[in-house]
Amino acid sequence: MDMNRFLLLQLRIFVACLGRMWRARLTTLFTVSSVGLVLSLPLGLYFLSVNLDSVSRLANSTPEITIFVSDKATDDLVAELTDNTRRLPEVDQVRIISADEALDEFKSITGIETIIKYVPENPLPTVVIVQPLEAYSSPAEIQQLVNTLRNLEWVDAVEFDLAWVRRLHSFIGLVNTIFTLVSILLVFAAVLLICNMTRLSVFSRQDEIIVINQVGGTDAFIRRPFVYIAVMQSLMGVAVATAVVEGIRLILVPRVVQLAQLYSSDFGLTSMSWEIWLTLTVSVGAISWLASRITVRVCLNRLTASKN
Amino acid sequence: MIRFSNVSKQYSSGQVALRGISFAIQPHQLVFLTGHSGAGKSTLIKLITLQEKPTHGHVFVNDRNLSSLSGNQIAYYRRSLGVVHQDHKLLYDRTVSQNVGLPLAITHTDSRKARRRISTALEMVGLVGKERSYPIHLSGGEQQRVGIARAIIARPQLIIADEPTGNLDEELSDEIMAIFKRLVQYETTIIVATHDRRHHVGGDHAVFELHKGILLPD
Repeated sequence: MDMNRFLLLQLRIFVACLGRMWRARLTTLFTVSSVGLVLSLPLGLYFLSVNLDSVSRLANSTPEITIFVSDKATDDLVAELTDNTRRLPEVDQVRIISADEALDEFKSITGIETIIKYVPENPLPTVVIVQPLEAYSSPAEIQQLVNTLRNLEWVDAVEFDLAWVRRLHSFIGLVNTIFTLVSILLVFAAVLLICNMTRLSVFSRQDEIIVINQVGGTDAFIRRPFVYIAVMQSLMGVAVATAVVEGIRLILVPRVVQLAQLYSSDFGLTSMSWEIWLTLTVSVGAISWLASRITVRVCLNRLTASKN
Repeated sequence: MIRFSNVSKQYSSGQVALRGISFAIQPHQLVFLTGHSGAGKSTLIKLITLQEKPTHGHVFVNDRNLSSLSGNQIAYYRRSLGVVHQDHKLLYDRTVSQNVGLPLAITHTDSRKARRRISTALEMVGLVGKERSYPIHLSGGEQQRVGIARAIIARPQLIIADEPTGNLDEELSDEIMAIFKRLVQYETTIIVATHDRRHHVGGDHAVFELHKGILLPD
């Protein structure tokens, strides 16, 4: 069979399947809605996970490591320490807060200028603030950088509150794992739903299948419409799921923006990227194609098997 | 054309339907397969249409051993047959035209060519003008003619009819039989299983009589 004829044949089957779905539009509506709602849950969880990641990145976007410089270090040595720090591959920005600047800031914040006057010398050390690159913002990488900084000359102490970063990352990791597992289960449920609908559809047309089989229809000829319908219903389900999740996002956006503004943040809900949509569409299409093929084959074997 | 070589068939229930049957049918012959109910006529037909396989022995059609066929080979073999059933086996949600054209749809025959052949087939069975009717609106005799039109549309070399007049009155039965007798002129081999002795009395045809799974001598 040449390619044109093959494509024409596929087009004919596609149109015939659309017709069949239209004739059974109530069943189609229920199936597509069920698949769509089942798929909207993993899609919604993915959407939640992506936005949770954004929140975590936002909260952790400017992690700063504080180096307390030894009071014996001269200005030149502090400058040398700053240069050495700046040269580290994990470091994005470095700034120095001298002991005098720190004292001024302390005075302005606390308002205890009079008491400070009686202190014989400035008790605050010079501080170097280090901001790591975003690519090195995981707790392990930050811990490694902290260790490197501790080993530099003229460093008295290095401070970074890793505990909360670790807690946040591990919480997000846990949530993402739960979301992934639940999503796999729900996609599996959607596939089972399609398989069951295909099976019911095969058995409701068993008289037709037997007649076609007896007048010389191959298994592929019989199987094709069922597989086409299963794939089309799954893809329509993806469209419904996308519409549901996107609709919920649109409802939530103004409220989330309002909440974010209260925290002086410009955070907004990220919508689903087209790459993810394409991946979901192709995966669901491919899985339902395979699952419906297997289902129809099993049913046909049962219906048309020759007895010995 | 068709050769049965020591064929026996025993169903899984234990019932023996055929016992060591051997015979041959020449091409372009009209053959009546007779016998009482339960004699094994339907089983013999199912062995030719590959709905069943023999327990012992072999069935040959055009020198091809049917036991050796599998998968799509069975489908392609069935395309060379035209089968008429007692219960018509029509699709009631499709028109007469669509029912008759089913074997052509399976082989993806060009639609213009298919329409021509559907008209010819309906003309041969006297159903011109019923193309768009649904089987449910036709009489029993007309439904059987739709079944015959579907069996002949792909111009098979072999037509098999299992009790084609079983549910019809005498007059309609005669009409259906007349159609089969006409079809032999088109170089077709026809096997008709029937328990109605009226149809095979006289005329130029062979008669095979079965009794409790055994082929009786002429």
